[in-house]
Amino acid sequence: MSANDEVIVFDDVVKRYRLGVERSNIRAAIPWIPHDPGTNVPTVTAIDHLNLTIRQSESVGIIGNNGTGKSTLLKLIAGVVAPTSGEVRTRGRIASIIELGVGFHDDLTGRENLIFTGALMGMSAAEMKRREDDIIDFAGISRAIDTPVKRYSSGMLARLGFSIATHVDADVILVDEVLAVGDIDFQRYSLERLENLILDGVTTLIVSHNLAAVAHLCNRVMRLDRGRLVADDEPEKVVLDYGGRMAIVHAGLGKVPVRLRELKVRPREVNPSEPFDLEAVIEVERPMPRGRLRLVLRPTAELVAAHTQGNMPVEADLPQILDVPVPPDMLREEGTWTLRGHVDGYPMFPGPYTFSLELMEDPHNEVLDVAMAHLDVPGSIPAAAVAQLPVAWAIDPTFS
Amino acid sequence: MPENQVPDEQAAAGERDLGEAVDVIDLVDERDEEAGGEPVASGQGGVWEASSREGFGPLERTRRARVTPPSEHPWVVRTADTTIMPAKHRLRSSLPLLRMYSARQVQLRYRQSILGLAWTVVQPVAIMAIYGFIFSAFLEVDGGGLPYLSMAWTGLTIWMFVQAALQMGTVSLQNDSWLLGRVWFPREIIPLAPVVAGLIDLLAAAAILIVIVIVQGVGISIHAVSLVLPLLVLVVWGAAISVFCATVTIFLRDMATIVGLGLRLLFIATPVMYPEKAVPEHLRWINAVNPFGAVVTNTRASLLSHVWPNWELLGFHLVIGSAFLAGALWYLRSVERRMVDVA
Repeated sequence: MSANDEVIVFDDVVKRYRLGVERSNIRAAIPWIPHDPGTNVPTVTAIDHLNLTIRQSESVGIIGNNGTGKSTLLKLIAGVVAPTSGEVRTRGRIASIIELGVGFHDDLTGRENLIFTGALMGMSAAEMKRREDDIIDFAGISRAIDTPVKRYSSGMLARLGFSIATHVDADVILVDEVLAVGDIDFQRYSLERLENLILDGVTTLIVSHNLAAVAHLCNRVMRLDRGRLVADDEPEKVVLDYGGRMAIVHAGLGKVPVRLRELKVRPREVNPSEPFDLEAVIEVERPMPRGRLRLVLRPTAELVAAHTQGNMPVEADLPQILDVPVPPDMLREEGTWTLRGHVDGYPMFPGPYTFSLELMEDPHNEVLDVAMAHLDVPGSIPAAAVAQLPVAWAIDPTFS
Repeated sequence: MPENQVPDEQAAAGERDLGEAVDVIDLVDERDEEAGGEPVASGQGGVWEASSREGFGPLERTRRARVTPPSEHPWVVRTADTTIMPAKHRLRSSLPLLRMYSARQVQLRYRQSILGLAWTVVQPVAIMAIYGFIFSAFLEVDGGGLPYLSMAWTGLTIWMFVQAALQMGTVSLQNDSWLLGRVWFPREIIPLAPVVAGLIDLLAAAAILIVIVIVQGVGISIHAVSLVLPLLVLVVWGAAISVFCATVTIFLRDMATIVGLGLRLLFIATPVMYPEKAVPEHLRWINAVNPFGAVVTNTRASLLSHVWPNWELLGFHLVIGSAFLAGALWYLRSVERRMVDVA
């Protein structure tokens, strides 16, 4: 690795946007007046003193919440937005898929736009002609290619834009949240296309909320928060920290290291307020320092339907009657553990219930694994409630 | 090394535990049970979630890279106010784009119109008919020793170019501002394109002019060779004004209106539909100072009167015009980085 590999360098870059409407832009029109919104007007800082270096053939994922400067970062690299201060250095041809259908003119046909967009990205008409068939094939719009793009559906525009940008011999390609565009087939083609570009050594920057995509495609992930770089590391670490364990699992980068083997309730039938026992088997392959467990009691769908005389609710809508934290100590150590719990009695109304033991990982609320057990409270189903409250009542005369 | 494969064991566990489906996990596991792991669309990350079931791991980088080493490309440095790019590089990327941009301009102008490109001929003929009738029939302007039609058409050919270049050039950046925020390319192309596109109309009008000159018996002499000089002056001045006014218009919309008014004034001040001789002696300096006036007068001299043009005057306008063009390009480049924020 030497400085010769560098293709993008940010040197203390700040980008501030002015809020509100300017009355006159006359100051901006004069070259020797510095173009900085200054401090006496309301501004928003999209990029805050950012330093970074991206080397050739890196594929970099950029993640973070909305409004943290991810798109501004790409626009600064693409050169369409100027930094308020600092310096952005790039080299090589940059193709961007920041806004799909980039540079398309409504009245021109797909074919004309194809040549023109290529030219905007620095390709000669002859070079684009040579690739024309590939681009049209990839976009899957051969029948509409000689129709003005104003008649295209948004999906067609997206496909043509993606197809052009990935066929222009770019040294750097910028992708802003386009992986979710288009139908399932196109998503798969575009994924393959990006994979191939990355394998060819094209430097790739991908902004996406699809963490699985980022983790799969990128060998480096940056996380932005309010214009600052808060993480810049291997995908697994950054994605796990930001998006939780399932993003890692979806990306095929790993699996949940703890399995909840089973959950049993004994006895299976419990009269209201009678004692019962819970038993769970938990297999810890690797310790999960931030893992946590909870025990949730829910009525079954049939029970809810019987109460409300309505339709069967979907599973996710089932109310939680109880949410009990479970000591997570066994998650910290490798091995197979049996967890036992004893309940002195809980005053439920008759009906079928479900206990579930759920595995989560701080600070996320995603359920990583679950084990379930049924519990029947015998008797006929009453009308309005699922639990009783054991209250000791007393009635006294009161004088005021 | 993270594990790529989701073991079958896990899928089996999913079946056992999740008899009554609950959560995210269940959605994923169901897909696992579908034959051959065929992806199923579901909301945003369809392919991704589905693919993960097929042992989707980090991309294995086995293939050799095929891109040129970065050291073969020059650095492009962008700060608040400048795009520092080697001049050679900037020019090389500009020229093919300028050609294409100009062609697009012509293409677009006549898209969805019946006459299409024929308008390049029909339009000047119609204008000639209107102005010619007013000037020669009502105002009784004569050709100043030349056939009126030849004299006026020469002026009109040049004026049509000036008007198109300035009018369309001034609003060009404003009209294409949507493009500025999407892709970077040398911005001077946008205001230069209408000037280049105007040359196509100029060519069509010039072809008609030659026919008129021959039909009216004026004839063409060796002096026509010197027309290159007024043409150069015309293009350089047209480009300079277009680039400058387009850049100012981005920041101050007032400019477009000012240019509109200026064009009207210029049309009266330039001997387009009347001969230079019709101007009183003491006002002729206006015509000399006006580069387009000098172009019209000297084009008539070499094309119609068969004399050599006023080299000094044209040379003067060429030098001043070139300096103006250079200044306008410098101005555009020194504020181009701000256009996106303002436009």
